[in-house]
Order: sequence, then C-alpha cells, then structure tokens
Amino acid sequence: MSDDALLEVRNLRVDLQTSHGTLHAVRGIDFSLRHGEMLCLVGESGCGKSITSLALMDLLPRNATRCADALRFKGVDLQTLGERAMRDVRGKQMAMIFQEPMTSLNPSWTLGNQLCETLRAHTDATWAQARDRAVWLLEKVGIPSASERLNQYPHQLSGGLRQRVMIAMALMCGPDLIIADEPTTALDVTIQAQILHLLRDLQREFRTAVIFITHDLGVVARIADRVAVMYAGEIVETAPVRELFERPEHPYTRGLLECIPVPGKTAPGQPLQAIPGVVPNLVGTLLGCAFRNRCAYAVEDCRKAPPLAALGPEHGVRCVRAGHISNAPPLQPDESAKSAEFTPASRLPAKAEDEPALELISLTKVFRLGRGLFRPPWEIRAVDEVSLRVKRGTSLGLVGESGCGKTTLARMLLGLMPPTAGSILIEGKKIDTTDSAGHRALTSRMQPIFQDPYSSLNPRRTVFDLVEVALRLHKVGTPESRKRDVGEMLDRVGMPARTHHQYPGQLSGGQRQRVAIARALILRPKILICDEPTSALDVSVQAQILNLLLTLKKDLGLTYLFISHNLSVVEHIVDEVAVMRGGVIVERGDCAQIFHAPRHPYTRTLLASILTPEPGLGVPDIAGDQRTED
Amino acid sequence: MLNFLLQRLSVAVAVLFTVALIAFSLLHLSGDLAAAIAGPEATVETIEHVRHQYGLDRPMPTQFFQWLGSAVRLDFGRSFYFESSVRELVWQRMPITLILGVVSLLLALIVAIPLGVLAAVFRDGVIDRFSMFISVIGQAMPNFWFALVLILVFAVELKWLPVAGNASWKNFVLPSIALSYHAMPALMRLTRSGMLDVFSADYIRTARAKGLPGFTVVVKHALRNAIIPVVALAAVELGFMLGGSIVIEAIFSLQGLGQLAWDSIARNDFPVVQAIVLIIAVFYIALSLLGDALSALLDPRLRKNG
Repeated sequence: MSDDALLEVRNLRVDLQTSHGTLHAVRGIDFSLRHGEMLCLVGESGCGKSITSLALMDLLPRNATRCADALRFKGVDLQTLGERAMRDVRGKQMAMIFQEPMTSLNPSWTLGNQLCETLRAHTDATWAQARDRAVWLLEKVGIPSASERLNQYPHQLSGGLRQRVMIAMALMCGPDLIIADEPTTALDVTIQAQILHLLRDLQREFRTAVIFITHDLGVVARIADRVAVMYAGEIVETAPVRELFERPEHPYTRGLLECIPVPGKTAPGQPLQAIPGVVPNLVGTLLGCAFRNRCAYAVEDCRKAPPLAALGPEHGVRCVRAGHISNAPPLQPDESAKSAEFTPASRLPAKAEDEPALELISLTKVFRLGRGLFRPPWEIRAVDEVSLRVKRGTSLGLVGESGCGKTTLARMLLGLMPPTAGSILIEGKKIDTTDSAGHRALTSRMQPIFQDPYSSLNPRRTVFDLVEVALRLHKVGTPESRKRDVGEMLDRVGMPARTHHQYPGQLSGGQRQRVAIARALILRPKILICDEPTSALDVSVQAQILNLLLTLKKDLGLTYLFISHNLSVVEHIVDEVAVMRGGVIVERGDCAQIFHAPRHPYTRTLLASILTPEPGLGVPDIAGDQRTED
Repeated sequence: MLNFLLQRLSVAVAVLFTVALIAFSLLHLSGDLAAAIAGPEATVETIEHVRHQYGLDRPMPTQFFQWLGSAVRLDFGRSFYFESSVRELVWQRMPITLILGVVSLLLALIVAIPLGVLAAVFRDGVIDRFSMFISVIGQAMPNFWFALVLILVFAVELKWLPVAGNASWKNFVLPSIALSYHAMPALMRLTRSGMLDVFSADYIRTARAKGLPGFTVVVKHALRNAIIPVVALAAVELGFMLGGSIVIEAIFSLQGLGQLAWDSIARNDFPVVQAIVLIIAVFYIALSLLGDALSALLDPRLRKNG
C-alpha cells in the first residue's frame, strides 16, 4: 500500500457471542483510505458495516471480539494501543457521527459544554479558547446565532440542527478521519440534502478523510470518492464511485442498483428487479460465496470461497465471474411479479371509473394541548380541511415530511382517531367511525399496512392465526372455508406453506410484511391504506414488496392510499400524488404532472432533494428554511 | 418552571385536604370519642359533659372545619393526656425525628449511589454480586429485628455505643443505621438499573467516541442522567423514614414524633395523633414536591415545559 494511506485495514474480523453461537459479523475485510478521501461503505442491514466502524474506534459491544492482520492508522497499528492511548485517538484523530441525532447528545448538558469538553479532554485549551472554536465551528456548520446556541440544551434544537452540532463536535479537534454512520437516515429528505452538502463541503475544506456508512445508493452516488459494497460481513466489491455505478461487476452490486426505482429511469408500474431470498445467517461457518443462493449467475465454482479479483488499479470484486457481470443481459423480474400481466403504457386501468372509492371531505383534526391549570389552551391543526378523492382501482400517493399530518390523516381513516370535523365516504357512503357498526363496515372495506412489520404483528400468534383472526372476528365462513381462504391468501402473497405455522420472530422483515399484507387482504377490502409500507425494509426486499403490491392491485382491483416520504417509491407505484405540508394539501395531480411539472415551490424543493443514484451530479443545494428547523 | 411548580402545589393542597379529611373521619369512626376521653368509669352525664366541653356534639362538618381552621394556624388543640398544647409537644419532639430521618437518608445515599454506580460499571462482577446480596438482605429483613441485632452487637457486647436514649450524637448512630438500611437497597438498585439503562444510550457512545476519560463518561454523562429518578425516590424515602421511624424510635427510646405517636395511640390521645398524621402528611407532600422540583432542576427538558 502506498505511503499516503491514512488507514489500512487488513483481514479485519469481528465475532459476536450470541445465545445461538458465534456470529461472524465481519469476515475478513480489507480496505484502505487516503488522506481527504470519502469512502462509502454500503450494504443492507446486518452486513457488518456499523460493526466495522465500531471496531475501528474500539467501541465494540461487550460480547464482541475483533482481530485483524493490520489496523494501521497513521502508521500505528491500533491493536497495539492500550485503552489510554486509544482514547487519545478517539475524538482527536478519529471522530464519529451517529445516525440518531435526537439521542446522540446528552440531554443534561448544554451544547457548549459538550462541544468544549472534547477539545479540553485532548488539548490544554482553556474554556475560553474551546468556546471560541465551538462558536467558529457552529457558524461553519451553518447554525445561526452560534454563541447563544452554546447555552442551549439539545432538546431545544430540531433533528437537522442537532446533526449539525454533531458534525461540529466531530470537527472540534480537527481529526484526520471522520466516521459517519448513516448520519442522514433519520432526517427528512430536504434536511438530508442540506446535511450531505455540508459534510461534503467541510470534508473538502478541512481535507478530512471520511468513512461514510449508508444503505442508500442515491447518497453514495452523490458524495463518495470510492465505494466498498458489503454483503454478509465481507466487502464484495470496491471501486471508484463512477466505475461502480457504470460497471458493477458483482451480482449483488448489480442487483442493488437494479432493485431501486429511479424516477425517469425505471418505468413506473413495472416490476422491479428484486433480489430473491434473504441474507444468510452469519452464525457458524459460511463456506463459499455468501451470495450464491440469491445469485442468478451462480455456478458450481461458487461453492469455493471466491478470491478478490482485481479488474483495474482500484476495482476489486469478490466473485468468480468477475468481468462478466456488467455486460450480462438484464434478468427477468422476480417470481412474485410473474402472476400478473402488466399493461405496458397505460398506468390507469382500462375502465377508469370516475366514481371515487374513497373520498374525504374537509377532514380536519385539531389537537388541543396544554389545558393546564395556569395555561391558556392552544391548538395544533394537524390535518386542516383535507379533501381528497381516490378513484376506484387507482392509487393515490400522499407525500410529505415528518410532522406534515400524513400519519394523523391515516389514523383518522382507519378509525383509530375521531376526526374533529369533516367526513369520510367509502364508495359514496358516509362512514361514521365512532360507532361500532360503522367501524365494522369500515374495516371490512378498508385495511391498513403499517411501516414496521417487526412490531405490528403479534409475536405470539402463528402466521396462519394472524391472518385468520380477522375472518373469525367478522364471523366469515366456516372453519374449513376459513382454512382454505387463508391458505390461498398466503400463497398469493408468496408465503410458502411451510411458513404458515411459524411465528413472526422466525420470519424475515420482508416475509413479515407479506403476512401483514395477507392479513389486510383476507377480508377482501377494496381499499388499502399503506403507511410507509417499505421504509423499514432493505432495498432488495422493498422491491419484492412493491412488486407484490403492484400485482395485487391489478389482480384484485384494489385502491391504494400510499403514504410515503420516499418519492422514488411513490413515483413508481402511484397514479396520482398529493403533497402535504403543515396539515394541508399544497399540491395534487397526476403523478407524471407532479414529477415533471410541479407548480408549488415546496413540491419543487421535495423533488430537488431526491438523490437518484447518478454519480457526478453532486448533492443538490437546498436552501434551508431555517425557521422550520428551529 | 414556575408553572410546573404552581401546578404541583395546587395538587398538593388538594391532597392535603383529603388527608386531613381522612385523618379526621378515621378518629371519629373509631368509636365514641367522648366516652373514650371520659374513661371507662364515667357516668352518662360525665360523658355528655365531655361531649359538650370538647364540642363533639356539634355537626361533623362544623367540627371538621373548626379543627382544620385551627390546624392551619398550627393550633392543634390540647392533648387529653398531657393537658398541654399539642403544638408545643410536637415542637419539642420534631427535631429528633428530623435529625434521625435526614441523617439516615444521607447515610443511605452515601452508600447506595457509589455502590449502585460500581455495580453497574462492573456488571456481574464481585461488587455487583456483593451489593445485590446486601440489598436483598436489607429488603427482606424487618428493620426492628436489624435494630435489635445492632443493639446486641454494638451496644451490649462491644459496648461501643449506648443502647437507648437521646443524650448525645452517639445515641443517633445505631438508629440511623437501622433506618437507613431499609431505604438503601431501593436507592441502590435504582441507581444501578438507571446507570445500566443510560450506559446503552446513544449519548454515552458519543461520549466514548469523543475519547473522554472513563470517569468523565461515568460520572458526568451517565450518573448525571441516571440520578434524576434516584433524587425523586430519595425524597419519598425520607417521607417513609419520618413516618416509619415510629418503630425505630420506640426500640431506641428516642423521644421523637414517632414515639409520641406510638404513646398517644395507646392513650387515645386523639388531638396528638391527628396532629402527627397531618404533619407527616405535610412532610410527605412537601418532600414529593421537593423531589419533583429537584428532578426538574436536574433535567433541562422538564425545566422548560411541564
């Protein structure tokens, strides 16, 4: 390795002791990093990317052990350093930014105190000197009236501002390396664009090397110099960003790139190229290529561990078929999409009836807060006179950032929360969600799919029970007919028969979401309310679920209200879009019109912050509305 | 902050009124007071005379509000037994109970917090197991029995400390230990579990990633947050100690409020019992308020809105 390497990692392995045995979270990875370089570690959940970063900082959990042939940072092997010497490296030469800005700052100390203590711990700077640097850095990261902010506590700042503070904190000692672990995943899209922009600018200005960990290929394309793709604890491909996106040589990299919907590239409504199957269990020994069971290009040789093939000075691929993948013809869409024939051009069904399946008239929810003894009551109009029509057999996408009222709207629709005013009409009939007959009528016609399949399924019921219970509650059919119906529905959503008697804990995230969909559909509702149905899933699984939703819509003639913050997904799946902000619909229209000719400035801002996986475009400069951040 | 305290204060007043009402009614439910005061040998006329003299023949609400009205002015009437002002009786005894309670609480905290912190830092280690052992015994053992063991060992056998009385500071050592040992386990366990909770918080990972020394991470970042519920519990525990010192005071013959309450119950000296119940309740409520205020002071998030 050349002398200008800041960090050199050779054969790093991390084992976690779990109750099921030793989990090989990181299985011998090599990479190096130059001064001032931005390396993106990309991969799906559980691939070992966060563990890698913690291993570098020697901050692994108690049940983890690390070993490596070399872990050289600025010429010193970090493995030889004791705790005291390692403490000098942490924060001073190697700093970290975490995913959750809401919880990563200590709630009990002022920002100034937390910023200054880093510098004070590593240098003999006085409080006054540390304060000066903190103010200077807070201004650098774009925080207005920085010196007053020093006396504020974390809870007084928004998520975006807190992440800026975290960045300033990482820069306090002028480190050579910053490790950023999913720093924008918890933020809204417009804020994400601002933070990425800032990070990129600062990295150039301070010539700091950055290891940026993310699962989002859009982010990778816009900020990375070099990319390392991780899968099942290994780096399967590493290349400069442009080369990786233009000539992906590992089947997994290619799969990742093809399974995400990209506005303007993937045809809306068409099945996506999902990666079948799930990530292998990393407990115990894994022989051969870890990806081979999900790989369409696998051959007999894949049973042996593939070597890292060099395809260029900086392009390495861990695959026996390296060199043949990027030119291979595209694969057929995955199995879950096969049952449907897709209408190629027209996105609306042939007989698009104008009669709305779901209609909202001036639906309003007002929260009255703080009726305290000594406080005047005040109110929040979470949903403010929203009127919407969703035509039968079509889907409406409801997009907006956190706090815009989209979840409150969904809760009212599902009868989980009474509206303050306005009405809900299903197929022209007004539904009164407050009485039980109305509620029953509502649930038989409209069903939800929630965001988190990990917490929305009862862990003590089997898959079969979870789906059947709705039929029993609504007294539909006989035990035999219910058994048949449930079996058919589970088949339809792609749950093999052997899984029907398993518990949710034994299923993967994607499988759980399939069960949730089967549960929603078993009463044969006409309308599904999908509240961020794929945002808790990995992208390869997201593609499977999106394909399934598209198929079901066509086969069963369903109507969707699709709530999401992910505009690329919305563009792919819906016919019409409504953009929500501050409880009101600011713009609505045909999907193509919204995406190609947005009228409202907020819609334009939202669209500008979509990060499509196109290297070379950089991060859009979103002018932050500072007041919304406060 | 001010709003927060005002709210709590208004709730406290309501609670106090309820306690007063219950204390008042309980005594009247316990039988004919006039007969009790007049004694077992009294004739019907005597009892009626007593009834009139003490105002017990007036309607209940009138009696209650009269009693409450004077209690607010710290006038609790006259003791049936001592024939002297209840206020003075209570006033004499109060310092002893307060000293005992405060010293016991401080003792409990001095042991509980460091032990809890160490137990959390060296989780499953020797200190953790030792402190768990100690606290299980403390919670399981009745404190009157522990007090007797202390007397037997340190006063009777070793003769280091006096058995009973309240002549000097030495008399307070054993009762304080006995009383504090009862509060210590809960405080220690709460410190330990609070610390363990906080150790897994993201901001502790941040603090470690900043390269701060271990002591700073544990004390400044972890303990500062873990201690908030401990403070609230400590305030409540002090209330328990003031009320629960009855047994300990009786064992060590400390002439405190507890002892007075004990004797007065035996003597049917109702004005004294009522006064003590009310005073303990006031302490209890004041301490809960203090706990809330301290929590708010320690937690910036509560300081702003609440």
